[in-house]
Amino acid sequence: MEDKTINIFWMYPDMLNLHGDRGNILALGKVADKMGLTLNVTKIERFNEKIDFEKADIMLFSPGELKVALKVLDRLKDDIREVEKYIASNKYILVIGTTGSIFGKEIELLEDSKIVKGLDFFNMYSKERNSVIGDDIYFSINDKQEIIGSQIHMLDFDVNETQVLGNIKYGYGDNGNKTEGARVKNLIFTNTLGPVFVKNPWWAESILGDIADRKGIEVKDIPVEHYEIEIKSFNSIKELIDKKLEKI
Amino acid sequence: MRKILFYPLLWLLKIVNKIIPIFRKNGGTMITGKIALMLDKNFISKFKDIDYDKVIMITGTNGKTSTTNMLAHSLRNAGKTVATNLEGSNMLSGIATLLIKNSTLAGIFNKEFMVLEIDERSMQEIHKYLPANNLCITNLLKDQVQRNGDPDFIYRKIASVITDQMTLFLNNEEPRSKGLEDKAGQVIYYSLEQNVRTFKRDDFFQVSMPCPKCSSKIKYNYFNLENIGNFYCTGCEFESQKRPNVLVRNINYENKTFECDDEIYEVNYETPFYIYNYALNIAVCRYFRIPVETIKEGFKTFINPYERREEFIYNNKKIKYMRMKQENPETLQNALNDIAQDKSLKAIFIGLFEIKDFPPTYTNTFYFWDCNLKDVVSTEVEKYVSFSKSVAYDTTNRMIYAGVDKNKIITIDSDNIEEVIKELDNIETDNVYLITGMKPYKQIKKILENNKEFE
Repeated sequence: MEDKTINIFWMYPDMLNLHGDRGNILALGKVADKMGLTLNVTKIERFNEKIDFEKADIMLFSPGELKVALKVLDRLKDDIREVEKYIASNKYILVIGTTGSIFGKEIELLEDSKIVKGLDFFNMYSKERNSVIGDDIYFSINDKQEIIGSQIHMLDFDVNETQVLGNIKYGYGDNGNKTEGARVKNLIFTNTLGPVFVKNPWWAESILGDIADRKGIEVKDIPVEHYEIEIKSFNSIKELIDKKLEKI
Repeated sequence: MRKILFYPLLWLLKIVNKIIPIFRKNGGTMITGKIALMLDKNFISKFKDIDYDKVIMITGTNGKTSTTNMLAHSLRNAGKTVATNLEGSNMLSGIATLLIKNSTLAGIFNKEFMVLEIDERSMQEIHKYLPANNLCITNLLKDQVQRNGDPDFIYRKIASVITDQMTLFLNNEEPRSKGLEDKAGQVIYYSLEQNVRTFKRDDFFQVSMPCPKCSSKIKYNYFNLENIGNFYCTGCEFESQKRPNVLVRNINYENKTFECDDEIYEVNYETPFYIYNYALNIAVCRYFRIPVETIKEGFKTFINPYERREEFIYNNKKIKYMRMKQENPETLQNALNDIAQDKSLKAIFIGLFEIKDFPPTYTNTFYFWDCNLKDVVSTEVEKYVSFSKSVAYDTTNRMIYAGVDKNKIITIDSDNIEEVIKELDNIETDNVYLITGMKPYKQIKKILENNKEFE
């Protein structure tokens, strides 16, 4: 029988625990199930735990406090060659919120303007803010897929234009300059919370579909009516966003 | 401003404080403080005879208002004079107002104790002008992310005021606030032993938190409240104290009693949340040598004017309101945990709304994903009703993910409260729980109060 398993590594779920992002694992599992796939979730829970990069198809890094994200950065530096190889082989890393900063070039901290070197996969510079921005976010990826959610912004991101993930229709995005997130191969960074894959299962479907395709697994199409609640949620929030845009 | 001008300003503001209640019955608690600080940012430091060893600041995410009320009551019951900001703001202007009201014309503070509820974000600023030597931290949890970002942001603010002159009163079962223990001169830990309301979480998708000292995973042996329980760090030696200073034992929720050092305390509020507040009060009162019998007497007579639970009858249905704070998963989870205690048939109405605390309004419901609905879902529920124009579908979706049968959920994508009441009329059970913020609750109650079926 064909093995239809997709392996996801849930990276440091207890440490990177802000904003209810465990929902993303549940959403990816739900979408995988509808596609006829099995999502096998492995938790990586300790900093001294060995990571089996060969086994993973997706690694998910949720938002965490910056001091914790910097610990994760130190840990990944120990395995930098493995991470490079993993990304070069077009496997997926999904990284959300503040944690995205560790995949860029540099992070400037508020404390004494200290600079921390990142993993340097994104041509991206991050700077800790002294105030928080909380708002909705609405953007498109390649003008094809529309994503909606919320954003709690504690770092500004300056992303090289060739690596931008999406174009902002409403919200602050990376730094208020109409760009959202970053992407290099299948290393994807987004500021979007919600959890993002709960509110935008169509994005989860396209990621899982791509992985299945690469692994030669056939998948079932998900009828649009399966997304009835998510579409209604999308429209309700878009209505509020439209009102906010009218006031700008 | 020169000190000589402090006195005329104080006198003037004392007069204004007398006049305000004539025109504004329920307001004006911060006005004089605001004026004072506008004219003199050092206004607070100019008051004399404040004994900072008897200034007690109470901060934290949840429980600070109840604890402040309770402690002021306990100290007054012991015959102490107490100034407290119960009626006013927990920010700098509220403290300035309190000092105007509780001082002589010569600017001499005229009470023995100051018991202050302090907004977590304002702690640094207030402590600069009022360097209290006693700090109680109820807990530091996720809250108001649009303003606070993450709990570490608040942790750092509070850490910056802790000195070796200070006595800290810390919850032995809340890791983040306990992480502040190293810098203080003295730490007094208060704790609850395992009890019938203690629970464990063994769900694969349950997440814990990072250690405030080393960022490794915190593991809980058990929980007394959501994210509050006996814990240890998997990466360093950090853990709940084996011998806390105040240990509450043998909690009897039915009889509303508990024991502490072989003394039996009778109380009016029997939830684990309140028992922690009582434990903190015992810790502070003992520190100030209040006799046990006086503490016990104070607990018996304490009534919280800001209670989060209310009940009323409408159309022969008992409506049990459970107040939650938006963007604060623990208040929502604690409401859900309390509902899960009720095994009888019930209906649950949940109104999460877009967040309007600060501009811009936005549609955060992700804090609901930090909550566990498993215990509620396993009880008998006739209907779940989610309501609000912008986020009712997100609320519904969360419930479906938690295993609620889609057919049991009614989604009202409207802010029209009349539609909620229509559903209230439609349900058959007479046992109804309502979880929402204070504002929508007041709207619902106001409409129901005008109905002849209201009792």
